[in-house]
Amino acid sequence: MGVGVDLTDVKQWPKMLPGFLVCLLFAWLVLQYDKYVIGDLNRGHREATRLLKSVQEGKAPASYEEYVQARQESYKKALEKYQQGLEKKKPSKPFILKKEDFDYIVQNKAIPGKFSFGERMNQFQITYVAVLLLGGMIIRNTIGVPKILQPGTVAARPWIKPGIIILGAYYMWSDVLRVGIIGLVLVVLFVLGAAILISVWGKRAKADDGLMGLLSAGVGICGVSAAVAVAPVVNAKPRDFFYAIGTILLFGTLCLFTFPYIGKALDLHQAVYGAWVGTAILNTAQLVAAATWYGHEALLVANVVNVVRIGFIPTYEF
Amino acid sequence: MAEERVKGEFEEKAKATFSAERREDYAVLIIATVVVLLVLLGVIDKKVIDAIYVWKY
Repeated sequence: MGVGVDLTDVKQWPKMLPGFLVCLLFAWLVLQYDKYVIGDLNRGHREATRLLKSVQEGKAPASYEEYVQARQESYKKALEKYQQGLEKKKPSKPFILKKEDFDYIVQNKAIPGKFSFGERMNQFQITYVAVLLLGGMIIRNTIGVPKILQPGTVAARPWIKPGIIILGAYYMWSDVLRVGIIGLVLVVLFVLGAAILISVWGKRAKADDGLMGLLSAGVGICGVSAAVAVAPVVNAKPRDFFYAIGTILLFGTLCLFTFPYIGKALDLHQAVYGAWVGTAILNTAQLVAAATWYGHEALLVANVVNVVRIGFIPTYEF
Repeated sequence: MAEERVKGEFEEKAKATFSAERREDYAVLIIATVVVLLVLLGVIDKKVIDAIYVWKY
């Protein structure tokens, strides 16, 4: 339980409140950044690029009012097509530039710097996940977390669980079944592969059976929970247990910061990336962070695959 | 002897952590249920989510 705080103990709540509120404030500020820079400014860059192209081709709207009208009409037409069943995907509302940005593009034949900044931040995947993770790590390793705030930082952790439950509202049964079956195949291969590889490698390295058992379960299934569940079965020593957990969490941290960039470099589809993350990253919190970093669809797929993987815990008990 | 004592302490700590985590899971389920109910009742809707964001283009 983190730094020894029992979250269900009401008497400890006042102690947790300051840190929890600071975490909430930090998260809220970063969400503002994400919505504005990664969301609005990035969409603005696409729209500004489109407008700039029409300006360069001499097809730009004569006035701002004409530009707004053209954008709204184009949306109306797309919506009608969707309502008639000619388009499968509902069109999203058009991004309409503000007058000052429209004038800037038309007069200077250039994209305003703020839009380029948003596009660059999106390109480098500096989303809210990255800012929160890196920000937290920088604070922790430079100025440190004041003692009064420390219990509250642990209180922020369990919110990830109801978050995942509520995420269930996004799933369609058909998608869950489709992803679940593909996930099942991936997970069977991964769990068996990890168990065989670790056993062979462990025998060569002459490592303890307990440690190998914990690592097989932890790496093959779902990290810490699986290691805890099988510890009594494989008769693991406390030292083995901490080695296994350390390895799992260290590997997860490494993956968390590298997978989104590898996925981007390989131009992986969100669903493919989600399946990869859901299979390879063991700790649920790290998995959710790495998948969210990449995109919402990746998160949905990664969660289903993760649930399938967790379902394999009882197999290690045998 | 010392190793057995360490193992015993470790098992006690693991049991306590596990039971605290189970209690935490029940609390989490209650929170999630309340949120889902609030969404179904229309208390939490798109307007509420939009209101979180004050910095917009």
